[in-house]
Amino acid sequence: MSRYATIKTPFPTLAETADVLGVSVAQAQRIERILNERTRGRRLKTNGRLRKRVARHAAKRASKKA
Amino acid sequence: MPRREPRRKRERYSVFLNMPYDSAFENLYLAYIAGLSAFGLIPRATLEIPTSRRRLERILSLIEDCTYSIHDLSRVQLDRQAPRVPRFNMPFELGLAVAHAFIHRQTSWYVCETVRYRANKSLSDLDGTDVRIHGGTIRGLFGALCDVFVRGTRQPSVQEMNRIYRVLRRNLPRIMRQAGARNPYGARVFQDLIFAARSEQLRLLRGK
Repeated sequence: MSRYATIKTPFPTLAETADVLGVSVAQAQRIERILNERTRGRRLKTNGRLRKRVARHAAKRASKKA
Repeated sequence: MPRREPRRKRERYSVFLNMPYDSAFENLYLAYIAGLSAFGLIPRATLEIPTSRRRLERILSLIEDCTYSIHDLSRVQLDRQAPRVPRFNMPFELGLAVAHAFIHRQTSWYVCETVRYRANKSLSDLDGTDVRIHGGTIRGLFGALCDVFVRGTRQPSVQEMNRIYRVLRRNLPRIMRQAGARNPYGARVFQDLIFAARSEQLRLLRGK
């Protein structure tokens, strides 16, 4: 047995993965949808602060100065 | 005489993953799926075995189907609950894989451990074999996988593996909820995690 394995095969597609696992491609597509749900939604926090909070506080400070 | 089933072609992407299934191992379980997917490999495990079929037969056929096998011997200590016994499944399956590789000379097997030099004591028959030590950490495991597998064209980086791991970790509750599972060691959750890792890895290849 060699110390390491050299992989020469190309990266498998989702269809090939489904074929190896013996399940339908529909299952792969369902997971794809789960993964995409996350990216579609808006990020709630940036740098640990809630969305728009920094801008809101800056606007308040600016209004006080004026 | 019953007719024998035709032998399936060896799956060139498949890696037989022999590891413990407990909550303390969850991070490494996800890391194995993420790391192997980054290399373009498809993990296979005894988790997929349906309860209706004789387990030992299915384990043997899984080992036969896979080109590579990885055996994690991190759980050699006694169980906390009575009866206090060590888990023999992992060393037993390692023995099956070694015997298969010895007879057929087509498969490669690799051993991983958490604690350095422990395998020399717990399984001294492996003396002279390189046991990869991951130290129970995700980064250590990615390093061990990079030590085991080499891709000719595009070698994945640890950062890429980490990215896939984070996607799996983030989506695990949703995947488990959809499968109605209480823990990640179910057949359907395992398959869904592999698809999620593959999907993310293809996204990485496309440069998104």
